[in-house]
Amino acid sequence: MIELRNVQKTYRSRRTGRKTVLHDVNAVFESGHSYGILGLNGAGKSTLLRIICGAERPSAGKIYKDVSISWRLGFASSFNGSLTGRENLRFVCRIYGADIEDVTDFVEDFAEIGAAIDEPVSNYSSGMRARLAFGLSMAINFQVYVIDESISVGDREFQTKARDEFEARAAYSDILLTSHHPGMIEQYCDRAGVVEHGNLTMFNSVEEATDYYDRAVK
Amino acid sequence: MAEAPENTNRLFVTAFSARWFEELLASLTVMIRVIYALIIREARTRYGNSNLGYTWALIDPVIQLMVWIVLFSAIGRLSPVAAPLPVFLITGIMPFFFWKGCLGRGSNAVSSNLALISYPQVTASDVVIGRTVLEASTTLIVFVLLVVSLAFIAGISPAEFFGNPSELVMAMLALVYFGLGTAFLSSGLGRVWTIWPNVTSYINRPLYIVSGIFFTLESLPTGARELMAYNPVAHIIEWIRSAAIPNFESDAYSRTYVLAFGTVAFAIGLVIDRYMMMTGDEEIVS
Repeated sequence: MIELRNVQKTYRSRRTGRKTVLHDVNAVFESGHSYGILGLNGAGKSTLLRIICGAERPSAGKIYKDVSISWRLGFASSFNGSLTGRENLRFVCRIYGADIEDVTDFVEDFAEIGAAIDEPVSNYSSGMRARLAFGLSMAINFQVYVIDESISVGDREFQTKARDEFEARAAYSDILLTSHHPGMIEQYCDRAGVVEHGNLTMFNSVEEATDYYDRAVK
Repeated sequence: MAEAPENTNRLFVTAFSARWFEELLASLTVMIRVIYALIIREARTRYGNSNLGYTWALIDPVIQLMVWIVLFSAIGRLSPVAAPLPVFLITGIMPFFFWKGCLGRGSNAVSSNLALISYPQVTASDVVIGRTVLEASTTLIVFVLLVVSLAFIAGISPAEFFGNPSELVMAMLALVYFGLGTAFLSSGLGRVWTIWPNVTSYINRPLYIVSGIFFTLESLPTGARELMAYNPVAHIIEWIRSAAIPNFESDAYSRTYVLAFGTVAFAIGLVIDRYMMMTGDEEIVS
């Protein structure tokens, strides 16, 4: 279960001053359910996800979690360009306490980048980087997978493969997904919420949320 | 006795309870794992473009020392203490290199690792500690290499470096503590003041000259010696030399000053770290 209590996030910028992105968000994400979060660009979805993942701290409020939560799927900017793919994998395994051998075998097989795994990541194409990042996300078992907007990476063939793996994973892990398109949320989630102007409203069914979202957008 | 409401039970753990210690142990385990991972990554990437990689971190100080030894021998300068010239220089330059490393590597520790800090278990302090530990290990390896190679090449007995071994260990630990404090302060200043990494080189260059690497504090006239007494780096170098070199014991240094300086630097660094964590102003790489 993940619980947010009075979570608020304010950014300060030298140029534009203070901006409150999330106002007093309260929500409970129960285990055994997959949640979708709808919202327009700039509504605060990504900030909410980053706070749930632990990439950022809230300015005020508390977060309680008793599940392991993934980083945002496909998040590849932590790869160090001068390290090889294999070395980057090792780093993530070490900080998560995962078995280096198992993870590397899985990613080598899944990402299909061949001998390039021993090349520095700076030599990779963006597609190869994304494959490596996605493979790594799938290699470590999390109880909740967090996806910001999209899981489509790589070419069509890889996309299919990624979707299949992800669906298999969804059978025993929960998903937390943001999107500005209801379609994807309807496919993967059984509960949903809507973020607008920094406020989160949770609904018990995806239909209620999409109805509310459609009305709010129009 | 009534049970505490379930909610408060989950969110707040009573200090010093069994569960509190359990969670403390668990987070320490994660911290050690993270610092270890960071050290390996740092060692691999620091000289990323060079084929020599980490070896360069070992070769670089050796070359600099060789230059000084050759130069000093060529102009016929003698060691100011009753130890061979290389012993005198090494016991001054190695602590200085370590401290300079802490200052410089600390200054951009956070800004160059922002992407990693977005992993929930990686914190800014982990990065600073990791860099300091790597710096300390590198210095120690270089020191051992120098002692061993001098014994073979120049016939200088390793005993020349270990006049008072237990005191030397104490002095080295104090140096590490002082270096860690410096690294924390430097990283804090780098986080609130983006130009700080550039400023550090204006600090360490003059200090290279006035920290008593090429002379002993003891040998200075009183006026200069009083002025030098403000420089904590000079104190720790004098301390290490007094411990390392047999028959040399300076009274021109204060152990308290080094430790106090390290503690104050450490505290300021931690306060800035806490402040930055609370405001969350740092740009997060998404």
